[in-house]
Amino acid sequence: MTLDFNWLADPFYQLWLLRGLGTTVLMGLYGIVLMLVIGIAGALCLHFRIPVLDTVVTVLVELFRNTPPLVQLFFLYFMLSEIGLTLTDPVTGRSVPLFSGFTCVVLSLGLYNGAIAVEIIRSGLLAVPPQTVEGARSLGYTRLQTFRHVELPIGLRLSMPAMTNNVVSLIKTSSQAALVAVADIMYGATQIMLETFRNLEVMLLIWVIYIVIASLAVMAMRWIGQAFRIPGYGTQVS
Amino acid sequence: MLSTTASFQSATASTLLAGGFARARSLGLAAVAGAVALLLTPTFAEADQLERVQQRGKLIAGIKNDYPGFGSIDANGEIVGVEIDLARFVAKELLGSEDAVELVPVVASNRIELLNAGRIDVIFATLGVNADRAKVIDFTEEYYHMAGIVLLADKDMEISSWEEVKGLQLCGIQGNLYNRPLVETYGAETVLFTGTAEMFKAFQDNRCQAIAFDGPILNMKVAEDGWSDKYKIALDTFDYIPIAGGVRKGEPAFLEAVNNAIIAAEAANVVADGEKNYNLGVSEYVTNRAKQAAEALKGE
Repeated sequence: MTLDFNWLADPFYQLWLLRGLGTTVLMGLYGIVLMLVIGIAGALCLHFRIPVLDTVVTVLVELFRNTPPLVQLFFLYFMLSEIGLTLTDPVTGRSVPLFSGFTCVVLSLGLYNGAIAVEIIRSGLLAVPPQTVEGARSLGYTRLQTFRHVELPIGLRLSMPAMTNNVVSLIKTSSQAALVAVADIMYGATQIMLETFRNLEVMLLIWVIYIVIASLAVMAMRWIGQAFRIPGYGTQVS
Repeated sequence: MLSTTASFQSATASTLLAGGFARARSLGLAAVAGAVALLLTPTFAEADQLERVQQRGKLIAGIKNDYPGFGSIDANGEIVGVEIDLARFVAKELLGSEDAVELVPVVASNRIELLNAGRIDVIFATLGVNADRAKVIDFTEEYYHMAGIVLLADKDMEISSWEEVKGLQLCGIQGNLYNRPLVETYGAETVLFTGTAEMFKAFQDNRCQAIAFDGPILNMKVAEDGWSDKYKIALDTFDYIPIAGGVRKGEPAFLEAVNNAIIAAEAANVVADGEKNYNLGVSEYVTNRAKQAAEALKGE
């Protein structure tokens, strides 16, 4: 069997792949930011047992964690405009859906992996030694100050390994963007495969690209973990 | 066009045998067919596709189930369409019964892969003939001429040529042959989905300004309730493509058997009747093919 990568020389395909790569990376970055915001805010509600809000968060976490991300994406993309979430395009005067395909993907990634992040950060907070928390309280820190200066910094450090998994999962889940016509790397690859029939070669390339992106993310997470390590405390970074 | 039928008449030993083979099958004499198949084996690689299908007693055909007229699910949940009738007819020619067929729904983006991976024996799924595809599969006899892409848009959209789609967002399907010229030649922005249901929904949600997709399906869609009063076919096709079945490369016996079955189907007006029954409109191409096929079979 011979591998034929001649199609890579086609400038049109290069354009598709590069644009797709850009979209995938951008979706991943926005998704990670949204995921962290949702994760920390949700964990805070659960940790302080804020009345009503903690129930809402629990229900939402179960809802987003226990349904397939693809179903959520299709709901955001096809159903929201159905129930009236539209706006009027100032140029053409037509009513267009509020969220573009790209926004829908970022939202779905943020919500799905955010729901998982809530649980990850909560578990990190639970692992903060009670003596440390009591020590802070006895020094006169309020509950909020204790959370801000003691529990959250230590909790986030403790949740780094699980969070790395979540970040990688988010990057990989972004490949479903092609199903709602967002031109990510997978979308370009599908189109190239259909035109050249070099399925194996294209899949190999896509494989390598995802491995590289995910490995870079893992390295970045490891670097962050190392930079913020409390000497003599927490998980040993190899 | 009917090149295989012509080669029938150039009486080489193997084609004579194949002719006898076809007659034996139509009599339903499976035992005789098996014996003839054994006689044929030395000419071809052992255990070829035709034998495998006959041993299995079932033809596995890749069909569409979201393409009204060619293959779609009707109100009773049955898959119907011209290509479904054709697949059943081919199964009857090859195996003696039109129920000896397993219909596997495929989409444009996976049908060739499924065929070459051996999951299906033959593609009858609005497969357009082109040179790139001919490198990886063998095409059977062509049985339809499909209007390439047409443009479906709002009734009040003013557009007179394909050059004017520049910069417009056009919904379509991933894997369509025309996606590339739309972007490269005409400068449109494509918004591509994997299925027609998603495409139509996205268009109605105004995620694109028009749909650029195969003529037959859009012509049918624009006649539907709720569509006919709002939308129109704004631009006609700039190209027609022949539609054929597809089989794996290097299976001459199977290809010939399927080709003969398709010609027999055309002679029996399977495609011509299907066109009428499934509201595809009567096309000159299909009518001529039916006439030619009937004459070719008579002359044999």
